[in-house]
This record gives sequence, structure tokens and C-alpha cells, in this order.
Amino acid sequence: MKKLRLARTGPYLVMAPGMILLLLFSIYPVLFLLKISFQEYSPISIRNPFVGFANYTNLFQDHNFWNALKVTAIFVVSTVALEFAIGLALAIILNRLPIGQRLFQSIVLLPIAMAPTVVGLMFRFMMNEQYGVLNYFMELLGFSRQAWLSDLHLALPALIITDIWQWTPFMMIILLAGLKGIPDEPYEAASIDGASPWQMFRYVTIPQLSRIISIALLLRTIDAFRIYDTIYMMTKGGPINVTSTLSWIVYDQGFKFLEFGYGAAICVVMLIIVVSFISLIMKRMNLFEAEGSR
Amino acid sequence: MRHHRSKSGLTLQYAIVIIAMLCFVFPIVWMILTSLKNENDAFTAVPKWLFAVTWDNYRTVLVEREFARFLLNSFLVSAISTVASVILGCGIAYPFARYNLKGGKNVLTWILTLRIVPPIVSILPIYLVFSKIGLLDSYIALVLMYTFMNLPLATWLLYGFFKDVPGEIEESALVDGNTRFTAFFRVIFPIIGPGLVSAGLLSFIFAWNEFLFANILSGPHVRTAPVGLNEYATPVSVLWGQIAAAGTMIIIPIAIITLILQRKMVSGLTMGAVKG
Repeated sequence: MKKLRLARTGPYLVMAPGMILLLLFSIYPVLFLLKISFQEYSPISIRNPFVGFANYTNLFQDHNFWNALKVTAIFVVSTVALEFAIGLALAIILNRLPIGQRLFQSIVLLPIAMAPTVVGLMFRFMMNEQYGVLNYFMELLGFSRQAWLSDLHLALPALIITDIWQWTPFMMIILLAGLKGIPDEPYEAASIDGASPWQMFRYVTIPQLSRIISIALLLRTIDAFRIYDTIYMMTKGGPINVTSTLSWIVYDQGFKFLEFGYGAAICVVMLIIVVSFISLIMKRMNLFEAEGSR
Repeated sequence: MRHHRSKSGLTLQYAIVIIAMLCFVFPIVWMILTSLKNENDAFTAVPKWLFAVTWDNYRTVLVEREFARFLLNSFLVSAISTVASVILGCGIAYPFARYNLKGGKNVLTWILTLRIVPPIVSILPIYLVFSKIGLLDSYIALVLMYTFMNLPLATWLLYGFFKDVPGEIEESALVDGNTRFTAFFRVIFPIIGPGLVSAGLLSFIFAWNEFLFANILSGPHVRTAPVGLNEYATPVSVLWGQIAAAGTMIIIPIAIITLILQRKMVSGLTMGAVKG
């Protein structure tokens, strides 16, 4: 009898510690955020009165919030799109090279493994107006010197360039692995039918890669949406607020102005954005069914 | 796509790839070079390619600025949380892969979605709780946080590997007189070895590189290397030579294990979508 009971509870006992940790650190923060988003909440005050929807109505009238939403959207769309385009092009070229593939693949793993803080500071150094090496190269190529990180029009592109440097390799490596997995037959069939290289790309390569493309885009979108480390190191949201993303204004509200209630309201909006995005994607790609066919 | 390959086409392709690779490598090389220069050589409008190598930046950072201690903190926190994530991840992944548990797929999907929540969302409540129970600036706070952060990834990777272990292998081990417990360690453990390495490697790298949680939850006692690095960039002056030296020391260990375990890295980064 005892043995039977153990066989039934055993699996649950084994998973309990991990599940408890996950539940504690995910459910509690969300509930707590929801609660304090209806409060005027500060970690240093004793009374934290409920204020109804005031935080939310303030939020929707706050031009800093709309600005952060816009900056985040521009950042996510341009980094993910460019990283995908460059990554795919490089993967296709690399896949056709007779020698050197492994060497190039190793090189390209280095940016991915680096701490974003180090990357951020490194690029800030290179983008310095007076002694930055980037301006030196710009002048060699016949362009003028730029104050990359303090220019209103260049600060966000500078962050985007930094992100592209670090994460294009990620796209490239995943897509290359995908390309290697495509069998030869569909290409042979297509070439017998007289398909042009573009048609082969469009009607053979892309459909064969579709699952891996969705995973790569999904993972990059999630990570681009949370951008924080490089902003902290390079621009601190400035100049003015041209690089203030949603993550950045939450940090500002929380740990600079100690407005936790207001910060929590922004967090709730962020959660709604991510969750709706993800459920949209998850519906389109069934994770478990695809499991067996990889 | 693998036929008629003209010679000039191939040259062009190599040119493109080599230029791209130079772009990816240059910033890293530039940082390492800067870390070996003295102040005069580091700040020039025209970059100096030849200079007298000096180890002063490393000496200052390690001896005078406690960076050695920050590196040790980073190592301890990353290593402990990595071991914890892999063990707890096995605990969750194994039962779900082996038994037909009710609602298993829903639970696994839920765990996957945790990877999606932006860290800034968890930090406000967790900061308040940790400050209330006095866990700020402690190893436990960061270890708990990083274990939580890496557990979804570890669980998913390991789930994929456990799924690939045929049930018969385990059944026959049970017939041979093993208990579930000993069967796990004697039979399954060796098979999922690569999965454990993948999950462990990625967990370690993510914890080692993490900044947001460390910056807010750690104080003078358990400052990690990425947070310590930031201290050399004050509003008054930015000590680029020292930052370059500290940054180099942060990336070197990771670069080495990445190059050794390349394929594991790729499979981990895609949450198992690409097998290593």
C-alpha cells in the first residue's frame, strides 16, 4: 500500500521545490503589482492610500509613457527586423562556403555570450565624440564626426546599432542551423522544374525554415522588449527622453522617484502587452505538436 | 542551391563574410587593446595600434578597487544558482516527461511563459519583500533570483532531453531490481548528460552577465562584477582603461567556455529548438 502511494505522490514530491519557487516568484509579484497599482505607494511612506484608477488615468495622460511606448516599439521593430534580415543573409552566404564555416560560427558566438553591460560601456567608449574610434572610421570614410550618444537624432539609432552588433549573430546561428536541416530533395525537385534561385528561396527555403524563423523572431522580440542594461550603460534614457523605453521609465519611477504605485501601473500595462503578444503567437504555433517533428 | 558556383561569386561571398566577421570582432579586440594601454595612448583622436603594453589597469582594478572580490561574488552566485536550476529543473521536467500527468502541457506552457515576463516587472515587488525580510545585499537573494530566472529555460531544455529517453530503457532497469531513484541515476542520467551541460552552461552565462537584479538587490557586500564595472563610470569621470580591463575579465571566462561548448550553447539559446 505504502509503495503504491509513493508511486502516486512521488512525481509531485520531486517537482515540488521547483514549482514552489516558480509560483512564489511569479504569482506573488503579479498580484502585488496589481494591488499597488491602485495605491499611491512608496517604499518609504507608512500610509499608502488606495487611489482607485488614478495611476492608470495619469498614465494615459503622461506624455512620458506614450513616448516610452513609441521608443520601445521603434527599438523592438527595427532591431528584430534588421537582425533577422542581416542574420538570414549571412546564414545563407555562410552555408554555401566550402571552407571556414566552423571558424566563422565560433567567432560569431562571442558577442552573444558577452554581458550587455560590458557591450554597452564598450560601445559608449567607441562612440565618444572626441576620442571614440567610430568617429575615426567615419572620417576615414569621408563622413563628419558625430556626438552619437548626446545627439537627439542619433542616440536611439546608436542603441539600435549596439543591439544589432550583439544579437545579429544569434539570428545567424539559429538560421544557419535551420538551413543545415533542410534536405536536398526539395531543391532538386525545384531545379528540375526550372525554378530560379529566387523562387527556390521563396518557395523552398522560407517554408522549410518557417518554424525556426518563428522561434528566432519570438525570442528576439521578447528580449528586445525588455532592453535595460545597455540603456543604463550608454544613455540613461537620454538625451531628454529619446531613449527612455518602458523598462527604463519603470526603473526611473520606482528607484529614482520612489513612485512604486505608478511604476506598478506601467508594469501591468507591460504585462498586458507581452501576454497578448505571446498568446497571439502561441495560438499560431503549437509547441507540443512540433516537438516530435524537429 | 548547391550547384553552379562561379569563382567571382565565391570571392564576393568570402569578402562579405570576412567584413562582417571583422565588424563582430573589432569591438572586442578594441576593448582588450584599450585595457593594455596607458591613459595617453587610450585617448587619442587617431587610434594607436602600436603602444607599450602596460598591466597597470588590471593591477589597479584587481588590487585597489576590489574587482577580484566582485568576480568571486559573481562566480559564487552564478555557480550555486546554476546547480540549483539544473537540479530543480530535472525535478520538474522528469515527471512531466515520464508520466502522463493531468494538465502537464498547461503547466509546461505556463513555465515557458515565465521566460517572457520582463525582469523589470518582477523587481519592484521582490525588492520590497526582500527589504522587508532583510535579504537585500545577501547571497541568498541573488541565488534565489537567478535560480528563478533560469529555471524555465533549464526545465524546457531538460524536458526535451528526457522526452527522448525511451521508456523501455528505464523499465528494463526497474526489472533488473533498481528503484525509480537508482534507475534515474544509473540509466537516465548518463543519457541526458548533454542536456544537463546545455542547461547548466546557459544558466551560468545568464547569471554571470545579469545586471538589473544585481544592481538593485546587491549592496556593498555581494556586489557582482557587472555592477562593480559600472562604478568606474561616474558622472564626474569615466575611467575607460579600468573599465576595459574589468570588462575583459568579465568576458574572458565566458568566451572560453562558449568556444569549448559551442554546440551546447546553440541548442540552449534556442530553448532546445536546435539540438546540440
